Amino acid sequence: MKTTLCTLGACALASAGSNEGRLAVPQTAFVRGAGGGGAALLRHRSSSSSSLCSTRLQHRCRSTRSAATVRRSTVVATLDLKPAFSVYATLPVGSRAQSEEGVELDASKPAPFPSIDAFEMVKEDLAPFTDSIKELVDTQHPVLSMAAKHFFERRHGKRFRPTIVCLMSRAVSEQPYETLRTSQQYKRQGQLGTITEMIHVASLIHDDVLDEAETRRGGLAVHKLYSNKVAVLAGDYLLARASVLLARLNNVQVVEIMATALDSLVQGEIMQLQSAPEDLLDMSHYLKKSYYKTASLICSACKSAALLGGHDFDSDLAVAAEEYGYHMGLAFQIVDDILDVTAGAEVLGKPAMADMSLGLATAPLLYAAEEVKELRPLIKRRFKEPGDKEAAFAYVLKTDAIARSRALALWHAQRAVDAAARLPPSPARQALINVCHTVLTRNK
Amino acid sequence: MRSAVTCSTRTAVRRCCRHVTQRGQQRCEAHRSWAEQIPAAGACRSSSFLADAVRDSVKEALTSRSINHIINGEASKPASLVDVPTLQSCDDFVYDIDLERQPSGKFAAALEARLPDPFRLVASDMKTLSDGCKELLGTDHPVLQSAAQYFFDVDGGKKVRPVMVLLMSRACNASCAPPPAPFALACQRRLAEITEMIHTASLFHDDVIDKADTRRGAPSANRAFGNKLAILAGDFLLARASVSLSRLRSVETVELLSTVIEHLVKGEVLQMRPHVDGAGTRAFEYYVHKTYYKTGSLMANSCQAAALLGGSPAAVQRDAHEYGKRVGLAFQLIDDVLDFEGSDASLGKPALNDLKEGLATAPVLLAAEEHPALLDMVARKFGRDGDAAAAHELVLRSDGIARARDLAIVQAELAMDAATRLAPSEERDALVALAARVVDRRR
Repeated sequence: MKTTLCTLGACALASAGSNEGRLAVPQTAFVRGAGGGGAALLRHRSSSSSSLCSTRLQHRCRSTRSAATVRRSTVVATLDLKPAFSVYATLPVGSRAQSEEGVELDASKPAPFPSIDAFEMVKEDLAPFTDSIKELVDTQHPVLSMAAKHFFERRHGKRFRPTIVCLMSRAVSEQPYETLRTSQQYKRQGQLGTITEMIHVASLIHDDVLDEAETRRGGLAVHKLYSNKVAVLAGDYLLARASVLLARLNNVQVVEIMATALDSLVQGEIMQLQSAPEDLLDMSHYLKKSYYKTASLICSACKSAALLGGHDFDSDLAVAAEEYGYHMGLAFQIVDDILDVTAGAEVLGKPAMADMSLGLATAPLLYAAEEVKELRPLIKRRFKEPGDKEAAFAYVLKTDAIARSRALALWHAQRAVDAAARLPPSPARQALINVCHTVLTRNK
Repeated sequence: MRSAVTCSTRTAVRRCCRHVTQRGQQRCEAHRSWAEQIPAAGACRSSSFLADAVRDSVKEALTSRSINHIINGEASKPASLVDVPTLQSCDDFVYDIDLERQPSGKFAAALEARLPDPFRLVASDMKTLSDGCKELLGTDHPVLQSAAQYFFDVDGGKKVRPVMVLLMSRACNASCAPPPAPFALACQRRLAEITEMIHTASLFHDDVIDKADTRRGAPSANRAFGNKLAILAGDFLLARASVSLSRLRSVETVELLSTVIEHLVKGEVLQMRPHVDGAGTRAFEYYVHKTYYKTGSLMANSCQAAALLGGSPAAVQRDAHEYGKRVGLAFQLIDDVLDFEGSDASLGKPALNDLKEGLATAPVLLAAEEHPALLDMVARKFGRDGDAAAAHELVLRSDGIARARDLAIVQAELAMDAATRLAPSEERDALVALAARVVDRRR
C-alpha cells in the first residue's frame, strides 16, 4: 500500500511540478489512494516515503497561546481543493458498483423508507431564529429587511440546504441522536446549516443586481436602481455574517471549503452569463456549470458537516458525504431544469421556460440538440430571435430528450443513494435516501 | 523649526509654543523628550541584531513563489482543533475622541525628524504584491479573471494598507524571541495581499453602490464591465481572500479579518440609514463609528493580525491594533478635509463629493457647532437646491476644517505613541513616518 501511494505521490509530484507556485485552486492534483479511503499526499517533502500516517504537531510559531487546549491532532491532506466534478463522475460510465443495501430508486414508486419524513425529523433542530437572523427581522432598516425577506422567502418554506446539513450531521455521527443533539459539535453543525443558507441567499440576491443597460431598456423607474444598492448591501451583509459565523466554527479546513464553495457559486454565475457559443452546446460544460451553481455548495456543506463531526478530510465517511452532496446536488439541478421545460404545461398549456428566457440551454435541450441539428443555432444565439423558444420547445418534445434527462437525474440520484449507503446505518441515513427520492419526484 | 512645513503643522507648532507661554514649560518638555526618542537617520539601522536577522531572512525567503511553497507545504502538516477564546468584539469599544485635545507637537517633530521612508523600505515586497494578488485570482474563465484582476493591473492606489501591514509585521518581528519561522513570515506577506484584496473587493461593491464613474484615475469596474460583473468580481475576490486566509492556519486571524468584512458592510449600511437625530456630539459619534467600520477596522485588524502571526504577545498586538485604528481615523479625516479644500486628484479644486451625496463629514459636523443652520441642512442631507454651496460657504467661514485637521493630527500622534511602544527598529520609525504622511498629504 505504501509503495502504491508513493508511486501515486511521485506521479502527482511530477504533474504538479508544472503548477508549482501557482495557487490556482482547481489545478493541483488531489490523488485518492488505490485502496479506497484516499492517500494523504505530501507534496513538498523531499523524501516521499516519509511516514504518511505519523502525526506531527503543527509547527507552532506563536509564542503565546492563552488557554489553548489541544483537542485533537489530525493529519491534514493538502487542501488543494479540486472541484468535485473533476473527481467524481458526471456522466454515466459503465455499470454502477453494487452497494450492500441495494436501495434502488424508482421515481414511479413511493419513497424507499415511507415511515421516515426527512423534513419532519429536522424541524425542531432548524432553530427558526438564530441571533444573527433575529437582528435582521427586528429591524426597520431597508437593507436588512430585504436580506431578511429573502432569507425567509422560500419556495416550500422547507429550508432545503440546512435540512441536508442537519441530516448529514446526524448520519456521520457515531452517537445516537439523543446524546448528539445537546453537544457542542451538533450546535456547530447547525450553524453550518445557517451559514450555507446565508451563502445561498446572498448569491441569489446578488444575482438580482441589474445592469444599467437593462434598467434603461426595460424602462424601470429610478427607485429600481435604488434597489440595486439595497441588493448589493443585503447580499454583502449576509456574506459578511456568514464569514464571521464560519470563523467561529474554529476550523480552518471548513473555512477553506466553504469559501471555495462561494468561489464556485461566482464561477457558475459567470459561466451562465458569459460562455462561448460552442460551449453552450456541450453537455459537460452544462454539468460543470450545474456543479458550480448548485452542487458545489451542497457538497461542500456535506463535507464540512463531516469534518465538524470530527472525521478526517480523507476518511471514508467524509468522502461518502461529499459524494452524496455532489450527486444529489446535480440531480436536483437537472430535475429543476426538466421542470422548467415541462411544468405548468399541463396547467397553463405552455411551460415556464424561464431558463430559455435567460438564454440557457439545459439538459433536455442539449439532448434534443444531439439529434435535431436545427436546434443548435438556436442554442448558440441564446434563443434571442422571436419564436426561438417555442420552436426549441417543439423540437424537445419531438425527441426523447426529456426521458433521457430524467434518466440522467435518476443516475445521479442513484449514485447519491449508493454513497449514502456507505454511511453507518441510522434513521438519518434513511432520511437522506428519501430526500433523493423526493428530489426526483418533485413537481415544483 | 525653520524648514518648510505645511500650514497645518505651522499651526500645530504655534499652538505648542503658545502653550509654553501660557502653561509653562510642560508641553515643550514632552515635545523635546519625545523628539529625542527619534534617533537620527542611520542610527537605527543596526538598532537590533534581531531586526537585522529577521530582515536578512526575509530577503532570501520571500518571492511570491516561495510564499506559495511555504504556505502550501505547511498545509500538509497536521493541524489541531483548539478551543480558542474569541477575540473581544469591537461593537462595545469606545472610540475615545476628545474634541478638546490639542496636538502635542509630536506630529511637527515627526515631520522634522529624518525618518525612514515607509514606502521605500518595503518597496521590493510591494513590487511583487500586485503580482501575488493576481496569481491568487487565477481562474479559467477569462472574463472573470480580467474583472477580478482589474485593479491590480492598473497600478493606481496609494497602497497604504499593505505597506502598513508589511511594516508592522517587521516591526513586531523585531521584538519576537525566538524570531518567527519562515512560515510565519510568509503568512505575514500573504496577509498583506489578503488585506489589499479585501479592500479592493469593497471598492468594487462601493462603486456599484455609488454609481461611480472613475476610480484611481481609470474607469471604475462597473463602467468597464457592468454592474453584475463588478459585483461578482467583488464576491470572487472575497472568496479567494477567505480561502487564502484559511490557509494561514490561524483561527484568530480568520476571526479578525472576517470581522473586518462584517464591519465594512456595517459601515455602508450605517451610512444608508436615515439621518440620526440630534446635533453635535451624537452625530459626531455616529460619524466616528461609521469611520471606524469603513476605514479603521481593516487597518486596525490587519495590523493586529500581522503582529499575531509573528507570535507577538497580546500587549504588542494591542499596540498594533491601536496604531491601525488611529491611522485609519486620521486617514479618513484628512480625506474629508481634502474633499473640502481641494486635492491633487481634483486639481486643487474642492470636489465636494461628500456634500453632493448628502454625507455629513467631520468638517461640516464641527462647523455646525458654530453655525447651527448647518444642522438643518445635514438633516435633509443637503437635499435642497443651493444647500451644498451654502454649506461649503459656512464651513469655510468657520474653523471646521482646521479643527478636523487638528483632530487628524491628534489621532496621528496617538498612532505614533502606539508605534513608539514597539521595540526600536527601522520599521518602527517608518511607521511613525507613515502616520505623519497620512496627515500631511495632498491626495
